[in-house]
Order: sequence, then C-alpha cells, then structure tokens
Amino acid sequence: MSVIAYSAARATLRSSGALLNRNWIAMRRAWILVISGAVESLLFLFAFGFGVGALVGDITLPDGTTVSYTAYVAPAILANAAMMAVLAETSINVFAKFKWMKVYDGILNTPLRPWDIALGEVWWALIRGFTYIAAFVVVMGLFGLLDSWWSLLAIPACVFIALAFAGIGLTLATLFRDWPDFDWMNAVVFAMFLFGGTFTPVEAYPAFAQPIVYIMPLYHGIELVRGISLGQLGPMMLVHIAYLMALCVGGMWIAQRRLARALYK
Amino acid sequence: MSYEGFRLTGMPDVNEILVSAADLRKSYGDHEAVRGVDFEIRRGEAFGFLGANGAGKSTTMRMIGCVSQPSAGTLEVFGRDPRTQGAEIRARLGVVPQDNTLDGMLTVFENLVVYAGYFGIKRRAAREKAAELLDFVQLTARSKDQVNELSGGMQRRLAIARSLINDPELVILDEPTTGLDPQARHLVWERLFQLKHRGVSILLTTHYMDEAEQLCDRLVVMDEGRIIASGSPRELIDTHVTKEVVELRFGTAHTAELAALADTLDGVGAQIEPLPDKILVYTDDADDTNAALEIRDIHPTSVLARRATLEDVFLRLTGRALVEDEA
Amino acid sequence: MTTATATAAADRTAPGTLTGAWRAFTLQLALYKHIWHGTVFTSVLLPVLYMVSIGIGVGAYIDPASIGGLTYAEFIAPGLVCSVAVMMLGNDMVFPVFGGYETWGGHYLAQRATPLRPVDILNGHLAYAAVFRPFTNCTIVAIVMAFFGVYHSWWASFAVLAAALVSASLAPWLFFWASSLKNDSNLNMIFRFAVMPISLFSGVFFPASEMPGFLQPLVWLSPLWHGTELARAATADVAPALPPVAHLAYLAALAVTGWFAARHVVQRRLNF
Ligand SMILES: Nc1ncnc2c1ncn2[C@@H]1O[C@H](COP(=O)(O)OP(=O)(O)O)[C@@H](O)[C@H]1O
Ligand SMILES: [Mg+2]
Repeated sequence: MSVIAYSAARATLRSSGALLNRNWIAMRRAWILVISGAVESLLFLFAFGFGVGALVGDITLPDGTTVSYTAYVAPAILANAAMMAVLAETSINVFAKFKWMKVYDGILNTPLRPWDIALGEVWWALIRGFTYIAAFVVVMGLFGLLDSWWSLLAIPACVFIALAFAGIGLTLATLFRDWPDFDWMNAVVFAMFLFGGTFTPVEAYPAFAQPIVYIMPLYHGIELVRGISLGQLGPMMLVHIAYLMALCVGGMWIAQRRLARALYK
Repeated sequence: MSYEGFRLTGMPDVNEILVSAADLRKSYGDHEAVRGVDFEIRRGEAFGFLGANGAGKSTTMRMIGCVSQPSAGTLEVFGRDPRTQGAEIRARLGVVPQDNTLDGMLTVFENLVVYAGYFGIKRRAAREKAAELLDFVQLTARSKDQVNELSGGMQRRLAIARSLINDPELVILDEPTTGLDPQARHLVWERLFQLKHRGVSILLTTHYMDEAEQLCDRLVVMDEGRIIASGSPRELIDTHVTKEVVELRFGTAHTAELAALADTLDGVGAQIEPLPDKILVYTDDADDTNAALEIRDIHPTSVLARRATLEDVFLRLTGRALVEDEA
Repeated sequence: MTTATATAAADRTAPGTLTGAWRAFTLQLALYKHIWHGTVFTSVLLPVLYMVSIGIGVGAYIDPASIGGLTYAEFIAPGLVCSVAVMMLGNDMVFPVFGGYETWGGHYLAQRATPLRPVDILNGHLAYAAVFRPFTNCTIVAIVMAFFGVYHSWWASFAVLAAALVSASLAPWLFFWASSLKNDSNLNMIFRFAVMPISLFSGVFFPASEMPGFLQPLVWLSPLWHGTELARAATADVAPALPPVAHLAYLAALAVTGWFAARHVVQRRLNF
C-alpha cells in the first residue's frame, strides 16, 4: 500500500518538477527582474518603517506593550512581500502562460496532467517567494530589527502566507478573462496592504470595519509574522495557520479543476 | 543521410490497430462539432483527415490526443481508454497541434529539452535527442534563438521535432503545412516521408489535396462533423469522379451566373459542378465534351482539360456547400 | 450588396503642429474611453485610501510638532495630489509608449501611416498624459481631500497646478525612457527604479530631511519633491524649501529638456 502511495507521489513530484525546470530555464535570463521584485518591498520598508516610523517613534499596542513603530511595521511589510511575490507568479504569470502564450496547451500533449501543472507552478512561486522573504529578512537583520534568533521563525511563517496566496492566485488566473481584471486584483491587494492591520492595530479601527479585516488573508499572515518577530506567541497563531492552509488547499483544488476544464476542451 | 536513435520497429505489424473510433461524437454546448465518426488507424500507415475549415478535424485530433473528452461513442488509442488512461497514452504519442504552442519564453534548443522533461526523459539523453532532432529538421544553426525569431516554416519544423522527442509510436499532425511557403512545405513533406520510412505511424489533417495525395496511404474526408468518404487516394478518385475534368471559364461571370450557365450544360459530361469562378465538367473523355460544347454553340473564354485529382473528389463531395456559402 | 462610393472629405494638406497634436490627442482620448474604469483605482481611489490608512490611521500616532505644527493629514494631502500625477504617468507613459512601437497593434505605427509626424504623435500623447489626465484626475483628488478638512484657503486649488507641472516635467522623460527600451521585461524596471522611489521618497509621507544626508541630492532631483513643496505651500500655507521661483524653474527646465530628448527618440524610432 505505502509502496503504491510512494510511487504515486514520486510520479506527481517528478512531473511537477518538470514544470519547475521549465520555469527555471525560462526565467534564467530574466533573473534580474525576479530579484529586483524584492526591491519594492524594501522601498516600502524604508519609506514607512523608517521614514514615517521616525515621525511616530514608539507605538503602544492594545495589550499595553510598547515597541518602536519600525519594528511594528517591518513584519507586516515582510508578510506583504511574501504575498506579492507569490501572487505575481501564480496569477499574472500563470494567466499569461495559460491564455496568452498557450504554454500549457503544449504541455498537456505530454503525460503531464493539470494537477501536475498546478503543483509545479506552486513550487515555483514558493521558490520565488522564498528569495524575496530571505532578502527581506537579511535587510531586517542588518537594520537591527530582529530581536533574537527566534525571529528567524518569521521565514517559515511566511511560507504559510505564500502557500495561501499561491492557491488564491492560481484560482484567480483561471477565473480572470483579461488584463483589466488584474487591475482590480491589484486594487484589492493594495487595499489589503493598507487596511489589513499593516500600519495600525486593528483594534484601533472603527468597529464596523474590524470583521472585514478578519476575513482578509493578509491580516492573518501579518498577525502570524508580527507575533513571531515581536516574540508574542499565542494560540491564535494556530487559527491563522489553519485559515491560510485552508485557502491554499481550496485554491489549488479549484484551480486544477478549472484548468482541466479549460484546457481539456 | 541517416539518423540514429529513432525507434526501429522492424517490419511494422500492419494489422495492429493503434486508434479505433466508433460513433465518436463531440459537442460544444448545443453545437455538435463531431457527429459520429468511425475509423481505424493501423500501425505503420499514414492516415489523413481531409476537410474544410470547421469540418471537425482538430476536434477529432484532440480527442485522439487525450486532451479533449469525447461526448459520446467509443475511442481507443493503443488499446487503451483515453478517458482514464490519458497520461499513459500521451506518453506514446507525438503531437503537432494546429497552432504550434511552442514555448515563447524559451530558445529553440530549450524548447526541446524542457519538453523532454515532461516525458521524464533524463537530462543527458534529452540533450542528445534534442540535438539530433534539430539536425533532422535542419534547425541546428538556430538552436540558440528565441522561438519568436523563427519564420513560420521553422516554427512548424520545430514543433515537429518536439513531437518526436519521446520516440512516439504515432505522430499526430494537425495541418502541418498550412500557411507555409512552397519550399517550406516540401521540406516538411520530405521529413514526414523519412519518418514513415522508419515505421512511425502518422496521422495528419490537411485541407491541401496534393498533400493528402502525396503523404497518405488512406484517408477520410470530413464535412460538417461527419465522414463522407474514405479509402486510399486512388480509390477515392476512382469511386467519386471520372477520369478527366474540363474546366470552363466564362469571362467575368461568377457564382450565380455560372450556376445558371451550368444548367444549360446538362449532358456534355457525366457531371457538372459550378464553382464560384468556373464550371467543372467531369467526363470520361475530354474530347467528347469539347465536341458537345461545339455542337451546342457554347464558347467559354477558356477551356482546360486535365486528369481528375483528389481536389475534384473533395469539390464533388463538398463543393455545393462552398457555392451556397458564397451566395 | 450595395457599394457606397461617397468620397470622404479628407484633408489633403499636411497638418500644422497644433492640428497634428490635436489629432493624435483625440486618439488617446478614444482609447481612454475604453480603459478609464481601470484607471479609477490608481488615479482616484488609491490616494484616498492612503489618506484614510496613513493620513488618519497612522496620523493619530504622530505628534504635529515633528512636522512643523501641521496635522499629519494636512502634511500628506498636497503630496498625495501630486503623487497621483506620478502614478498616472506610470500607467500612461510606460507600457502604452513601449507598446506604441510594437508591430502587433502599436498605435504609434498606425498613426505614422497617416499625415501625422512623429513629433505630433509625441505632442498628442503628452497632451493627454501631462495635461488632460492631471487636470481631470488631480482635480478630483484635490476636491475629495477637501472633505478631510486639510486646506487653509482657496489657494489650495493651486495644488492641482503643481501636480500638472510635476506631470509635465516627468512625462517626456518617461516617454524618452520607454521609447529607448528594447525588451518589455525592462518596463518593470521603470516602475521599480523610477516611479516607486519617486513616489515614496519625495517628501510626501515624511519630510525629506528625515532621510540620510547622502540621499538628499537624489531628493532634490525628484520633480515630485519640488511639486510637493509648491503644493504644500498652497494648501497649508507653509514656506517651501526654496523660493517658489526656483522650484518652478527646475520643473520647467526638466519639462523642456525632456521634450527635446523625447522628440529626438521618437523621430529616430518612427523614421525607418
Ligand atoms: N473549444 C471549442 N469551443 C466551441 N466550439 C469549438 C471549439 N473547438 C472547435 N469548435 C467548433 O467545432 C467545429 C469544428 O472545429 P475544428 O475541429 O477546429 O475544425 P477543423 O480543424 O476541421 O477546422 C467548428 O465549428 C468550431 O467552431
Ligand atoms: Mg483545425
């Protein structure tokens, strides 16, 4: 039994690995573009973490503790970086390959199945997300924003964010009809960035807005990463992780179903 | 010239059936693109699907290639069921889709190596195979170029090379030469001949009669989702048209005027076929037809007598639809 | 089938500079009718969201003493009006310019086949991106900002003028840059290394003096910084960093030199 399960898993991994290989070779020439994507989040960190942070000074959290505003905002921008990297890869790039360049039409003439494609794209997005996260954490460390080695746990925490948005992004790529839809996606994403608890504690929001924030996937990611990097662990973190994982699994499942339906014409 | 590495099947077992379809159907919404077709493709043969645009050729190819689920009927490829064993079947197929679906982000060489990866071919073997296939389709000099820098004919050849990367037992080519210039077409034909010689079975669609006549051992003619004739090119010509054809043109007269003129020609040949620009007279003897025209005092601006071809079969079987479309 | 054979009253003379620019501009306007709803977010909603999230939200934690006695909302409002102009250029002057020369559906190539000259095409696009867009969208944003109670007098309306100047000084340079690119993957670089840094580090969200000294000269180069200084003088009645004439002169110089650079490259790209 387990032998069968093992060989099935190996077959799927090898197939999705072939797609990973494709993306790697395709992006080799454009690596500077991929790497420089990390710059955007760093710019936000400098502008809001340090620039605006200097105006704010320290901030008192709802539980009474006081931290520097820079240390408060940085983990949220890190979470945002993880989200942006993965979303760009799974939504816009997958959409382009799917509808525009017809890359998958060619691939489906081979033994690969839609599930292998979905999985391969998620691997790839995770790798890209990981480079952004790592670069960001290194910069945080250089500027003294990491209190202890425990703060490095922020990296695996970001992986949950990346997984969740990989699922969401893939689903969006199959739902969207044309480029203007992405403008709206970017709008929603940016609204989440501004209102997902990035800059101020959600407890300071008007009461009617708070439930909306609790639905936002990014909010859960921010709380998770911030909790770890400020050393405030708690049971709520399990809720955040569960929510993010549910989005990941649900998103990937819907995406591969829709890919299959669209491609197996 | 000899190329190594192709599957040497020896003498193919010509009785082995690679693809068999019975009452195969495919609908998109309430539009039925394929309306119940039956055919069998045997190992080692070159089998053609002939038909106008929209006849349902590509749809049939996609079903055989296991990227499209039949709506009804039965289909077996390599004795397996495409519905449940698609991946296994695709592992043994080579496909050149109507639109190349080459990977625009990769170079020519990378297209082949990456594609090999989808079949689980090891890196080293893939590189060797890719180099050899580029040689086969005469693209070695372009191997480092980006795909979109290639001409249409080169892209087509690359798509053909790509379809051979897994040493397929059956290669499906959907309109392999549409849109190519004459030189490029001949180059593709020549390569397909080579493949056939190696015992690779070929399934191709086309709307060029000369292509079908040259390449196919057997073919079917499709029209509006149905098979309206089948056989070898020779058989089709013998069954459906006369030995000779006389083409008549009448100045600038076209469609409707020609249809009216055709009525007055009754009896000068076995069959009269008005086309948008000319009238075809099918006859067993062109001289008899000319004489008959003379007697009736009909003087076309030009008269051309020739042997009947597959194109005439096609026009006979589907020609009226063309005229009606024009009107 | 009927064949209409009416002769269109085509103008068979070469258009003058103004007519040419006007004709090219109308094409941009026609395109805008199709895409305007997609631009509403960046050009109207985004600055308002910034105002709520950062201006009001974060502003609650900021001591007015650190920004010259203004409330934080008052501080960022004029900058937001001007940065809308920059963000709009990011949409209007990067991809549309690059795509204009592409053989697949490039509208510059299409216009080139008419009596329009390259310089008309440039002027038409600039009229759209650096005049029409700021005067419509920045005005809307400036009016919406009024509801946050951030203006001191009617002088505030001059903020729109400052925004238009920022647009005029930056637009030709973006045109120049996007026209010079060979590869579309470099378009993202314009966003990452020009549009984004300019938007974030031009004294909109925090005083430029907060930045490390060695970066200050870069800030002085930024047209958005000059525009924001002018706009803030108009809305909040604070003295700008330099005499207003100096800010104005810098923006004008940038606009004029940029136009010549852009004209050079558009003529090179469209004469073949
Ligand atoms: N994915 C699809 N969705 C809806 N209709 C389709 C689709 N693919 C093909 N068709 C329709 O099916 C018919 C046959 O098309 P096709 O198989 O492509 O013909 P051919 O390849 O012979 O030109 C056409 O009428 C076409 O419009
Ligand atoms: Mg077809």
